[in-house]
Amino acid sequence: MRFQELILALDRYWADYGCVIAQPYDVEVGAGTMHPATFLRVLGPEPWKVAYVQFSRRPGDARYGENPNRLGAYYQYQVILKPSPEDVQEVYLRSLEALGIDLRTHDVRFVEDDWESPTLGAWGLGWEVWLDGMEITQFTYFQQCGGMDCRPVCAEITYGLERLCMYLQRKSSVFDLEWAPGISYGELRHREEVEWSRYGFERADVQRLRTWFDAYEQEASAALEAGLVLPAYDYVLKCSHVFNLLDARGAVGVQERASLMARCRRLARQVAERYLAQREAMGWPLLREAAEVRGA
Amino acid sequence: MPRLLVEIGVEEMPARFVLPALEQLEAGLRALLAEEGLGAGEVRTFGTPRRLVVIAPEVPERQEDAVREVRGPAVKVAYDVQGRPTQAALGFARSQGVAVDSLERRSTEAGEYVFARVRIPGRPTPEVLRERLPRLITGLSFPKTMRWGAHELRYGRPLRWIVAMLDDQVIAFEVAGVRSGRTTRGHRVLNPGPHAIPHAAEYERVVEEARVVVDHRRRAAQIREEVRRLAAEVGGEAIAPASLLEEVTFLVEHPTPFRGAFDPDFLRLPREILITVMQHHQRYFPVEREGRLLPYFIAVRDGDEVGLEQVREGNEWVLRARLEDARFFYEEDRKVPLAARLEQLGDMVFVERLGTVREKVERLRSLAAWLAAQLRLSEEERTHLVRAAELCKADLATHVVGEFPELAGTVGGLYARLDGEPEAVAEAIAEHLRPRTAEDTPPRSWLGALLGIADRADTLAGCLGIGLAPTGSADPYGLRRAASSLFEILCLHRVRIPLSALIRRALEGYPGLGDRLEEVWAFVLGRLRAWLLERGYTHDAVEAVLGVPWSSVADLVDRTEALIRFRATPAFAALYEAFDRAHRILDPALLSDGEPVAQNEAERDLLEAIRAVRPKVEAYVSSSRYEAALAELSGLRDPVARFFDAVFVNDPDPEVRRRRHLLLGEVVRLVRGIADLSRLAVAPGELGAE
Repeated sequence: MRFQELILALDRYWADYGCVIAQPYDVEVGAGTMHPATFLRVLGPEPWKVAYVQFSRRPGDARYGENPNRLGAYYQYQVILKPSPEDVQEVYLRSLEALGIDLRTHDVRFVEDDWESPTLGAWGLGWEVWLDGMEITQFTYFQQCGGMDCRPVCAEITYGLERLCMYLQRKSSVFDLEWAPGISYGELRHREEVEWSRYGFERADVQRLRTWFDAYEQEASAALEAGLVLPAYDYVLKCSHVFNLLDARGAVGVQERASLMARCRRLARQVAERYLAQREAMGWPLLREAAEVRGA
Repeated sequence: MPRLLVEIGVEEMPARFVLPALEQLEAGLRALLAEEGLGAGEVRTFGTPRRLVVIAPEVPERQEDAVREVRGPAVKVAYDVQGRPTQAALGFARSQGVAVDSLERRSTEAGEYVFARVRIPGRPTPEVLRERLPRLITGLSFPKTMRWGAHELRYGRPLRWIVAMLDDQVIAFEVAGVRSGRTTRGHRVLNPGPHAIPHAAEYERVVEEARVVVDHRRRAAQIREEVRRLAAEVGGEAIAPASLLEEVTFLVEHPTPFRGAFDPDFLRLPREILITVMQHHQRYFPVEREGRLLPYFIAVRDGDEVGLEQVREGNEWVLRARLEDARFFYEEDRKVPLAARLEQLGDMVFVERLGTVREKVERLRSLAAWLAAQLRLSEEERTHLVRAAELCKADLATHVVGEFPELAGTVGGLYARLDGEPEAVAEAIAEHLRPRTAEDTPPRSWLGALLGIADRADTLAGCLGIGLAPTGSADPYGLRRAASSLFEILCLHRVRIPLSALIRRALEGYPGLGDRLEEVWAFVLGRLRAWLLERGYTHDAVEAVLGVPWSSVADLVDRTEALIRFRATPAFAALYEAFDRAHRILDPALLSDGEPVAQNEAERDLLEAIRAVRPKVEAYVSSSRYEAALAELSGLRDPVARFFDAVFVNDPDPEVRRRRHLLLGEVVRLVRGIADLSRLAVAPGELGAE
């Protein structure tokens, strides 16, 4: 199965299940969780089902495109089901079958793995899912997000698309994956890995990055003060990304790391609080809709 | 009698949660049955990642009847002058459902009253269980809990189905939106079901047909045997620690072990790295022959033989990717020497508020130098120990340890050796974090032991100094483990350093924590007591030894063991009698320094006996031959007895009284040089027939 077909098959499967197929967010993020369709929508009582691909940047994991298994940026396929359905594991396993994986001839395991994001004030319990010994999915029941309890709890299903595809195509280098007929993953992404590694490890201007962090933080606070929750969140994401760049550059000391993370977390929490207040003021629109669907 | 079956169906429970949950389930059901008068029959449990099962094969059909006495009206109200029951008595009897002539008269403190003996019929078992089983299920505790969906229950993992049956009857109740019933589920892939259970006695048959090996003991035995056989087929033996076997047992419902292979070229990687990748990351069993790894692994599939070839090939592919990763990190790491990584330690936090790892390394160097001086190490040993202290944390900055944190120390040792550091340095680094687990052993090398001691003492002093002592079961900094490892090493290597001096010196490494010695010491002493008890020493022997001045942990252990051994000999009664008689009468206020003197025959007799044993006792004590010392002291029984027979110790003349107390005080002092026998709980039978 080609890389793009993998995405198409997952889109098809989750759309049929009833998910909104959202599009990738256009601000730099480290994981699909940071997309507002997850970070914000998992808060509060409204039901929510969404699936999307998110390009996720991890500057510190970059390897100049020289390591066949490591990337400074990669694609996550993210699914949120809120509240978590009773048969969520079966629903997930059927998605593997939709990818042509015959469970009868493979070995699937749910192995304990908990998840935490200190910058987002989020954590959950769950598993990594193994396919024949390969970790292909992160499966998490969100307990808290933005420092607030998730009620109801959602299930987050995150497929590592490159890993899964490497396994299906039996490729030993991520860059050899066939993305589209005749076009490799490397063709699309290798140069990017090389240049961003050089930038992140060698060239990023630390002084400027620090200035940006401060500026983004101020902008986020100012937007919050003006009651503009969503713009504020974008600037929180930018703070987080700048922090990751500084960290990859080796410019963040011990004390500073804790303090920068705490500044991100504080903002994320404020955004989460304001978002909830905003939805409540709107009368939890999706709750109303769900009630109408049931009524009809 | 009917059979009770409860199956709690869950989403995959973490392997480490299952056994403790089964223990609670068994104890909980036993307690429930006993409390409810439902007998104390057999209770057994089974567990897989997806189900916790408890079965009581024989439960009575109903509770036993009970009789309760209820007080009614006063006798003078209950009967008229002719002795006939009044309306009050009739009403009371009616309300209690007994005949009026069965009422009994009793006198109480408040006067004479009538009583009814009311028979309370035992309730049917299903009714009792319907009320009690939900609490049994929700009352299980897990190391970590979570919520799911819109439910408020916190549990190890989401609860998905419940089977609760008494023979063929369902015991109906609801927990977190799940209604109990007779429907179970089978193996996720092989035969998912649902499957109905007609009768509790058929449970094992139904799950077996549903392709689940529900008895974890049987799964463990199958895995162990197959793993052994598969390794033997290639002329090797599997490396199969009990913890990995247990984990794998609770990762599968239908185990099928199989063997895979990898490119022998990877065998050039250090053995420790290969084992870590296979065991810790893939839960595979490595295979070795005569201590050398073979290019095979044994994995356990959750499923049967169908498609096994594809599963094998997939696992081999995954392992190859993992090993290539490890090789990449290893080769990257080897581009610079270990010592070149020291600088990076300045960017790593040791523990919040306790500075960086770099600072810890500085403290370790200084503590190592102190240990070297205290123990009069040779110049070479001292140099090696300090160098090992300097390098022992450098591997925290390597790629391999970043990827496999459990290899900290091991990797440092490997790299130090490759860098051409002296073998003693490399060995000390490699060993200093041992014992890592309860299954592991302490460092074997002397310098590894000393470095391990310095590392633990530093961690304990710092963490306890800023108030991080563990509370309850939570011990996030592993301080209990650090303390017991410290004692274990000190004891095993017989390190003659007073524990209090070690802790004080370690605390001095932290500026500003100098005044926290009391808190730190309280914890260390508490753990020492617990550690001694865990070694199986009796409580009173431990207290007797801790009750006198002691110095090193090894010394403490020697004394405790000597005391316990000597206590089992016939001479103990003599020793105890001599000590006990002297100790009981002794008035500490009358004691003073200086040699006792004798003025009469009886006093001279005792003084001579003391003078005869004293040099021998002191020599034995100074060479740690405590049992011999105790035996020597038991010879004082007769002189002490004669002394008590001949003189009145508490003589009216204060000078005489003081002299006699001084003599007995010397007896007590000599015994207390080893242990305070007054803390022993000695049963009369222990002292023989006399």
